[in-house]
Amino acid sequence: MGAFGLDPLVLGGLGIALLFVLLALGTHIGFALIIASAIGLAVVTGFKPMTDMVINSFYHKISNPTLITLPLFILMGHLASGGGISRDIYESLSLWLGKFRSGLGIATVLACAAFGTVCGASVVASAVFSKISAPQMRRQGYDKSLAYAIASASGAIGMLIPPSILAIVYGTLSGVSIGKVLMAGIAPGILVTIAFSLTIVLMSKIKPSYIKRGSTEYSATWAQRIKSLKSWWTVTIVALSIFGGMYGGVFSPSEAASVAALLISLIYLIRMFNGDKNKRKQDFRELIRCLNETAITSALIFFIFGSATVFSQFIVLTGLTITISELVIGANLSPIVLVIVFTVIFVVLGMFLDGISILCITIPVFNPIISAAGIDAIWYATIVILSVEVGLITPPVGLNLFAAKGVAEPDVSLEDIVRGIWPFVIAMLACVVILFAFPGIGTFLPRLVN
Amino acid sequence: KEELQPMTLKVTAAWPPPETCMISDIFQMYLDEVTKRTGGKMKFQVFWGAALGAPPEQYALVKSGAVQMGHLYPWFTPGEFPLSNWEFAIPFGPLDYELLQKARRQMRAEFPQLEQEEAKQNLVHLFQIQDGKYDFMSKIPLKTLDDFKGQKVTLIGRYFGRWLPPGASAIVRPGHERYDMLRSGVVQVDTLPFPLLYAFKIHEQTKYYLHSGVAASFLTGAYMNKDFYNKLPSDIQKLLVDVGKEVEIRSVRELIPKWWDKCYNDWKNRGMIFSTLSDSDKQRWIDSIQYDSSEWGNEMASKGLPGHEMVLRWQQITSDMGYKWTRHWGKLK
Amino acid sequence: MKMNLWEADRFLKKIEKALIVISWSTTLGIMFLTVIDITSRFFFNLPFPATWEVSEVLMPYIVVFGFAFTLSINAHVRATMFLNILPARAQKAITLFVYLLSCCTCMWLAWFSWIKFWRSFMINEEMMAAIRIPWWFGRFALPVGMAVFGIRYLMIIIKREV
Ligand code: NA
Ligand code: NA
Repeated sequence: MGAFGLDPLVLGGLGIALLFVLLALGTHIGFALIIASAIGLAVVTGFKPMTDMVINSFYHKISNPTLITLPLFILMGHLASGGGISRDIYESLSLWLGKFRSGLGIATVLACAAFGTVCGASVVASAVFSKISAPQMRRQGYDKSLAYAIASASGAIGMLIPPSILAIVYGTLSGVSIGKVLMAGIAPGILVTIAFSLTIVLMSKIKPSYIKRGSTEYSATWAQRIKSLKSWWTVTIVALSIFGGMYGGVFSPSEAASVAALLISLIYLIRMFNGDKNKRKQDFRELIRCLNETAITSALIFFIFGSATVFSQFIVLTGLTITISELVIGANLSPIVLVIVFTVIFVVLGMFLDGISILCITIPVFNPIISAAGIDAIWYATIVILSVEVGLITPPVGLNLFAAKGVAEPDVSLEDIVRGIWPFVIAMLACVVILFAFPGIGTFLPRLVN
Repeated sequence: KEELQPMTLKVTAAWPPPETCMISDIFQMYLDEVTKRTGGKMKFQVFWGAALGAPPEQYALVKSGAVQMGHLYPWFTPGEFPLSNWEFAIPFGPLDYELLQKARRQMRAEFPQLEQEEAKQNLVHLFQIQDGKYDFMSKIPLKTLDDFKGQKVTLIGRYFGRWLPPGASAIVRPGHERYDMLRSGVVQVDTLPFPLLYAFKIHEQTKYYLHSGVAASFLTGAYMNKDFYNKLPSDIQKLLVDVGKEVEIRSVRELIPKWWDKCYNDWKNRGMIFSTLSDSDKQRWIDSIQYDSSEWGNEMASKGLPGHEMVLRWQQITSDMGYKWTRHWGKLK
Repeated sequence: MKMNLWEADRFLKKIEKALIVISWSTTLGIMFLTVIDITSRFFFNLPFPATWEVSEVLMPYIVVFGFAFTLSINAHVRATMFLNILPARAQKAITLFVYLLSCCTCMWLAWFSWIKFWRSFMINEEMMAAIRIPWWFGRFALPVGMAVFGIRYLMIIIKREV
């Protein structure tokens, strides 16, 4: 029983309704989340405890050093796009891909998957690729909705492929091996990569206006193509150093962002001092602009990040999630139906709450039931992690969507991105179904490790 | 006489659920016992895994009354609970869990400042939760003190880094970061209480286990919001405290050995190689430590708190109970 | 009166820009600190005692100090699809209302996080770390950032720039 005798379901439901109203009124997302939780928490706990909780939750979220990768990778993204590195690469790609126009989108998805081997947080990957890839895809003829939806959705792959914060949290909260959960993410990661690539091809067929002719020539000569490879040296250097350092025991995944940001900064400075002397002043101004942009992007993403945590904790405290779980458990379902119902719960909760909060609250309640029902723990873990990841790209609270909007060009609205995201949401849900139907996909790799 | 109305208390806990984490299991033992003794009238809804807030803000949730009870760790916020951390100022103390529990109770009786510290945060202390001994897990074989030379060790805490064997250096990281530090090979060694080595799954990245004997003082506790506690019928208040005292002893007799067996068997099956430091190596290690507990004592004294007295008294109480200190720490200023 | 408002706005803009510079300088600072720590640790076996905690105490500056400037260039994320179907005057009125609400929220957060900071400062609160790191230093960012954020909301409301 909640405050004023209100049922947790009612209380949580009212909180979510209030959030909807605030969002619809055009409140900045961060404050929509904070105001809805503040009012909700005040009802549950009273004014003073509510104030403490809001301030503490917000403060501890934004000061969590695990998230320092966000500003650092964003700095990397801004310098890469400000310095023209990403433009050169997309032009080169375009030369190589020629008439295969979906290729650029697919290349972005693949790049996100590759970035996922370095970065453990989806939101970061979405922000970085929305900055460096989406504008370039647009230059090559992609519709803005599609371009930003690709970058925003593909960020989710970053948390499926190790390293992954979500996998470590899952492994720690449950009895399942972290190593196995990490391995279990690889196959779904590849699956989602394929599904997103197919989605792009499919969308280009269904809506030909989505991908038009771009700024680069379709029919390039081989000489042009080979010459364009020159632009790849920066990425190659950064990628090799990061991989070498991370797998050679020099630094950990959460430290990799610092190294990457420093390398890109150095490359930027080298290009600046090697370039035209008269352009130097302009390049320097561009550098300052990139730094300012980094601060702005970090501020707006963290604002939503911190507020989303506050809102999640309010919903958790109402007891809503526990009540729902208990209802499901009380229904005495068969194992398979149980997994289906849990999956639906994860996807629905993912619409409003952040992934880690969902895991914290559901694992202690669901997992004992799952193991009692004799369900394969690794198979279940792959389904859970993928379903929770879907929440990153579903409105109304989709952190990847906000991150993409945060770094997007001025003419791109949140609605534009949301409009383009649905095919990718469906693709991800299809992956959940595939994992469900063919358990071997998810559990094959983890079985190899011991 | 007042009757207890049926109620469900909201409870916050920073650690993973009881299935995977020993101290949570001990906490659950207490909650179950209270529910049983109140005839099911007092029930608990626990939010595990820091679901309601980061570990350093857990105490504030109980303090403000957002929840009624918590499994808290004053260590995270030394500014608000300076004295509660006394054990972390003295290395190589007793490893006998039951002795530790009794000695702590005596410290509580002799130093009312501990209770005052909690009261200042609007908290009532219900019982002491003992974690397991601190040990090392490593990717490389660690059997003697010299094996530590040049090694980097992940750990956490104010003084632990300075208690390492000669030649080893500390890298301070919270638990969830350690797995990746070992996986990427930045460090080869980690130290934690054994149940947390298990909960954070450090064994997945390591092969060797070394009993260190450096401490068994990983102390957490169950606390209740003071205003809430004061409103409870007095027999219930007494029940909460009595059950605490009981579970304090029952848990170290029943649950800790059970968990050690569980962890040990699991590790053994994975091929973990266990070793213990020789007595002479251990003494050499103890003598090599540059740190002295007066440092903590001075810090407390500057706040007008009896830090030096507590350091000395702790050693006295535990030696009266039969522990042999091989080095004396701290002095009265 | 109009002139004063314009001057106040310019002054506010200056503060916001200064805060932005502090924000990215902090990011660069943590970047250098981390890389130097990695280098010292790998080549000389000398890890720094508290890079993690120093980052923790600095991070709020990266985040909160960018809030106000980001609002001044209208870059904070919001959904406008429902507003867009309303008549212009209604849009304006609603936006004015939610900005006022946001402004109050800023002031409320600024005030209570100031109290939290002040308490931390008075007891000279330290973090749990291998070296002494004043926690209040990190807590100072929130009230400052939130107050300026709130003033920017107020400025927008007064200037009717919604
Ligand atoms: Na990843
Ligand atoms: Na969502």
